[in-house]
Formats: sequence, C-alpha cells, structure tokens
Amino acid sequence: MLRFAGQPLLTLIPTLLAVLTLAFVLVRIVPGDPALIILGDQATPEAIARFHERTGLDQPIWHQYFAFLSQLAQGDLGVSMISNRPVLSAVLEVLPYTLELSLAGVFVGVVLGVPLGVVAARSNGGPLDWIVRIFTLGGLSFPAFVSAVLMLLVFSVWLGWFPVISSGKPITDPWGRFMSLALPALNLGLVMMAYVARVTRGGMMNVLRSDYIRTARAKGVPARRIVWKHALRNVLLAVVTFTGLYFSVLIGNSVLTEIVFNRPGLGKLVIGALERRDYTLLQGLVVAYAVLVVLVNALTDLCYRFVDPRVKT
Amino acid sequence: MNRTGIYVLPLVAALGVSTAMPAFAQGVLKYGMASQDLGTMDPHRATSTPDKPISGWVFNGLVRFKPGSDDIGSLEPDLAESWESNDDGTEWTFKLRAGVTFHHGYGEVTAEDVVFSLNRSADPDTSAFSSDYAAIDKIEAIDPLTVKITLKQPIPSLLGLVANYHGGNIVSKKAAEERGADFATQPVGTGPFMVENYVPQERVTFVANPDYFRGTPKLDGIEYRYIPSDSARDLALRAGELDVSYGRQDQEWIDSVGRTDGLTVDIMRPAELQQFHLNTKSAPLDNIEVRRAVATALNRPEYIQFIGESLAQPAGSVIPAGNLGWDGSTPIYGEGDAEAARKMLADAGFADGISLKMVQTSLPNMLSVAQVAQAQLALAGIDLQLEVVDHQTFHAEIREDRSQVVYYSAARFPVADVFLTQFFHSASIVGTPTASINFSHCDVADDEIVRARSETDPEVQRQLWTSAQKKIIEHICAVPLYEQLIAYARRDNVEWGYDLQAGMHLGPIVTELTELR
Repeated sequence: MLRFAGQPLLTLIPTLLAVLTLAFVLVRIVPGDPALIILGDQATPEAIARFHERTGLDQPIWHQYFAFLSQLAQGDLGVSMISNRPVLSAVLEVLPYTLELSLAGVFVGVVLGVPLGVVAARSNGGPLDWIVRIFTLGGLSFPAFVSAVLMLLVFSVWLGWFPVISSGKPITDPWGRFMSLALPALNLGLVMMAYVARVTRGGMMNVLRSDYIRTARAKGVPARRIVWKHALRNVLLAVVTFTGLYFSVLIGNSVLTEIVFNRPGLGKLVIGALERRDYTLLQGLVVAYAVLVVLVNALTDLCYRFVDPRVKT
Repeated sequence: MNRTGIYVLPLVAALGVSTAMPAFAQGVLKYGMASQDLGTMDPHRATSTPDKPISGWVFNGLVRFKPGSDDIGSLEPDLAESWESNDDGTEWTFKLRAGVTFHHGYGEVTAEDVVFSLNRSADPDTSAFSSDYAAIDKIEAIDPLTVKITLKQPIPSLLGLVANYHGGNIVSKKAAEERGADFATQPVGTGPFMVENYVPQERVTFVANPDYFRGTPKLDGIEYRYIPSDSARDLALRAGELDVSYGRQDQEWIDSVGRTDGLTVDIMRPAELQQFHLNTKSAPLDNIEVRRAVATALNRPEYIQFIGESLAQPAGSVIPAGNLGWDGSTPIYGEGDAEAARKMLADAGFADGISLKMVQTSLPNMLSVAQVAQAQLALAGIDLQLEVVDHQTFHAEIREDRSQVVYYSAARFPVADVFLTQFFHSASIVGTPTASINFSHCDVADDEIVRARSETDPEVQRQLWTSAQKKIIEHICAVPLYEQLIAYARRDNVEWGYDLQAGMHLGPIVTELTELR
C-alpha cells in the first residue's frame, strides 16, 4: 500500500519540475508585461521600470527561476503580480468549484454512459443500438459551448428552472448549490457520456463473444445476469482507465463550461491570469493542475484494485 | 469566448426570446460586467473599463462631472463647497464641505485626507495617473477644511485633476495607510455606495451609504457581477438575473436588445477615437506622399456603415470630439479613392504598390476594423500585412516600434492637451526614455502643444490647439477613422435618476437617485 501511494509521489516531483520549468519560461518569453495591466496603457517607461524592480522582473530569468523554486520548496507560491493576493489562497478558493464540477461531470458521464453502452451492445445492430450510436455521435460532435447556451436558453430562460448565473452558492445552501451545479455538470458530462457509452459498447461486444460467456449461457445463467455481472465487470476495467484519463481532460474542459455558466473555477482563473500576464498566478495554477492530474492518476490505479483482483500491489 | 457570441446571438435573436419576468431584487441593482474578475478598486490605479465604474460609486472628488455628463465646462461642487484661484491660475484654494464622513467609520473628511489623496495620485508608486499631476508644486492643508494647491505653471484644467475621475478621487488617509495593498479590495471613500464584500471571479457587493451627504440612496445596494461571456450576460439580463449589463459593442446586438420587450439600450460617450497611426520615420511611410496615398485609400464612411450608426460617429480630428480644444475644421483624407491613391504611389516612385506591416490585436471588434482597412488598401495596391497577436502581446510589440501602422482606440481626460501630448508630442515617442504612446513619431506640433499647456488666455489656448491639430492632420501622422460610443443594456425598471449622455467612468454612474421601479 505504501508503495502504492509512494510511487505517484515520486513521479510527481520530476513531472512537476518539468512542467513548472516549461510554464515559467513560456509565460516569460511570450511578449506582454504585467506592468501595463497594473499601470495602465499610459504608463511611462520609468514607472514600468520601477514596477519591474519591485516585482523582481528586472532580474535575469535564471535568477527569477531559482528564487521561485526556493520559494516553492518552502510551500510558498508567492503573491499574484496583479492583485497582490497570495496565489495559494486564490487557487484554493476556487479549487472546490472546479473539483465539484469535474466530479459531477464524471458522475453524469459514467452513470449515463455505461447503461447506454450496455443497452447498445445487447441490441447489437438493432434499433436501440442505432439510437444510442446516433445520440452519442451527437454528444461528441456538439461543441460544449453551444450545448451550454442551448441549455441555458431552454432550462433557465424559458422554463426558469435553473439560474443563468451559476456562481458559487455557499455550502450552507445545498439546494441552491445543487441547482447551480446541475446544468454545468450535465453539459460537461454529456461529451464524456458519449465516450463512455462507446467504450462500454465496444468492450461489451468483445466480451459477449468470448468463451466464458458462451459457457455461462450454455449453463443456463439468465441473460441479464450474464450481461450485468459477468460481462460488465470485465468491461469496467476499460471504463475506469478511460475515466481516469478523461478526468484530467475534463478538468481542462471545464474552462468553457465555467465561462458560459459563469462559475468560479481554475479555468476562469487561468484565462484571467493569461490575459493579464500574471506570471506568479499562472505558475501557481500550473502547480495546481499538475498535482491534480497526478492525484487523479493515483486514484485511477487504486480503482483498478477494486475492479480487477488480478492487480496486486 | 467571442466565438460563443457569434453562435449565440443569431440563436437568441431567431428564437425571439422575450421573457418579461420581474427582477428578483427589489432594492439591489444587479450590474453585469464583461470581465473575468476585479482588477482593483483603488481609484488611483483603476485603468481598465471593468474597474472604472466602481470609482464613481464609492468615491467623490473635490468637484464632479454632473452625473450623465462629460462636459469639463460644467464641473460642479462635490466635496469642495467653493474654490478660488489667483489671476494666473497657479494657486487654488478649496473650501471643503463640513461634516462629510468616510465609509465604515473612518471619520470626517478633512484637508489632510485631500492632501494625502492628491499626493498619492501624483506618486508613480501608488498611482497610474501620476504624470497628470506633474505640474503640481505643493498641496497644503491650511486648516481642517481648506486646501491650497500651488502649481509650477498654469495648466489647462486644474479642476479636472481634482474631479471625481482617476487621481482626483479622494480616499481616506487612515484607511489607505491601514489597509495598504488590501485597499484594492477594501477601499474607503465617501460616495453613495460602500464596498461590502468581494468574492473573487464572482462579484463585488455594495451597500447604500446611509450617511451620504447628498442623501440616503434609494437603492439598497449594487451587486456587480463579473460575467465575461457576452451571451451569458444577455441570457441573464433576459432571465431577470441582471438589471444592467455591459453590452456587446456592435449594431447587431443593439438591434437585438432593442427589439426585446422590457429592455432598453443606453448609448453613451465618451467616444473612443479609432485611429491609424502611421510611423512617419519608417520607409516607405517616411515619404509624406505615401502616407497621403494610404490616407486617401482608406474609406472612412465605410467604417460607420460597418460598425453601425448607433455606435459609430464620424471622427473630425486627431483627438476625440468633445475634448476641450477640439477643432474639426481641417479636412481629413479618407474618401476611399483607390485610383487617386495608386497615382500618388506611382508619383512617389512606388508604381508596383507597397506593403506595410501592422501588428494587430486579436480583440474581435478591433480585428474586424483592421480587416476592413486591409481590404480598402488592397484596392490601391497597398498590402497591409496583419500580424495578429493577443492583446497583451499587441501592447508590448507596438511599444517596441514593431508596427508600421498602429490601430489604437482611446478616450482620455477631455482636454486636448492630454491626447495631443500622449500621442503626438515628440517626448512621447515610443522607444524613448520618456515614451508614452506616440506611435507615429510625430513631432510637428511640439511647440503649440507645450505653449497651449500653460496659456492662460482661453482664446489663445484654443488657437494653439487648433493649429496643433491642423499640423498633425496635414503631416498625416494619423488617420482618424471614426469614433465609437459605449453601449449598455438595462431592464426598463431601472431609472438612473439623471439624463444619461455620458459616463466618465465608462459606465453609467449609479447615484443616490438611481432606483428600480
């Protein structure tokens, strides 16, 4: 178990270092200057120079890099260049929103996707199969920001069921929080649902053709039991792998959903930091994303153990 | 995100959404702004469109622009009750209104706060507007309610520097010192609304200041929501979740909102002058005949058609209309005569046409204007090569002189001196130690600009500014294309409480008289 938890942590460090170095260099070689954001477009070179001095941007880049690393080693992500607020608290403030949205998206994706895939596989070429295939193709090819706006138009503006602005409701208002999460999660989960349904369908088709299923059938095990117990369990491994991989993608995809539904979150923070050339905040966000992805991968590994008894520590 | 807008607008329009639902709030004005997040609420640092309206609600100046007006000639008393100056305008004495208190229990406004605030505005470490205050020699508190400002030399509008705009906003000395960097999110002023709470990426909430010296506001407060997506703001407005919304700045949006029951579009000044600055030191633009050809090939009326007549108005000079000292008497090229332009180029030795490099921001509204120009110039054999980059890169590149043609959109404090100095005085040429935003390297009107600045006779001053504009236009340092106004949408139940013609804070000011009916 220790090895299990330790391994991802060991890979975390070099991964993080590589990603950070890349991010650190990239944001600085892109033209643009946070000084112009703070000081305005009429800033004089003198004022800009003073800003650079104050924020350390006048130092050579390697100097800034090592200063940043030594700060990071002490668990300090620094302060935002634009707002002067600690980066860590800016990230932590919105992290729950992104996690909540991504998890809810995965939930929607899996809970809807797996049964759809199973139903399609059982129908195999029949009308249900076709319906699911067309439906999932729609899910894959519909841009998320278009579906988001359509959902808002129908469910929020016309029907008035959900708020248009799904911004953070306090945890003390669980119903409000749920209502503001529902549409964004559905929107985010629909694409994933389409993928999951396809993965499940493909896996099922293969498994249902295999020998042990034929044996089970010959022994007279009810069809329903064969599908949901014997076959699905083998397909789930592929679904878990996919979900783990896709979860990282989902965290990235949440950007558009966050913007259209106006939810706070990491994605919105990244866009804002990029637009304003907030180097320190961007670096902090890269750390946050890298940590998240590594954690998700570790969790995926952990899930294997439950799904597939052959995976031993 | 703007792609979203492209998809959504026709959708919303085609479906003819009209939901006349009542607004949720009774007394809180919900105001939607196109931004990810707050930049700063410190009025001496607020330079971006989304940050500026806040200053107008939270702070006062010694004098103020009448709500809804941008007329520098009709400034009225604000924190100052009265003022006087000596004959040459170098010494100004302001009598403060007694008994005005700062928000959150920070006590009465005294001369000390005014001295502190104006010195803070003049300090480049604490203010984005310090260069505006360069002419101030000293600011003194004569007694608790009297402030004296002494200038090194007369300036065109001292009152403008102490108005409720940019550096003229008066902050609480005690609060600014106590709160330091946090003043950006917890500002303390004297205005009709006080900051209650800031939730990053979401909103700032304001509550009415019950002790406001002009009377308790009719609204209970303001909720300022950050909603970057144009379509999300539109939908929220239609669903009644917003009362006021920053508009999408194009005619299609204005028409669509205008057709919707229960919604009204407000179009206001200040107009941003949209101008092409031609680098007069870069070949082949260093040849005035080539610049003349470029200016002649541009078709100015087409921009008005392209943007739409509600939002665009003709530009009559190289500074925005309405500026003190504006003069529209010099004819400007830009009739879109491709044949004439070709001939000018041939006469200048460029019979095969020319090619010009232009670093261009990817902001959609500005990019489309540049593309119109590209098409117009192509007709005259001028190849405008657009190098499209993101907005911050654009700002960096044009300051490094990498663009032969710079398309810049700007409004400034409405006195000719500011625009002329920043864009057309030689000290402001980009790449120099004193650089500002003179992208054209124009230096033909230095003398007039400097003399007008300290001229005390208004008539002579006006003539100097007129002459400066004439020289800049005739030297073709820049080609003004058109002027663009600002559009907001509101629900019909919002009553501003004044005649909204302009908003110096780039948004409608919310006053003690604003209400939700």
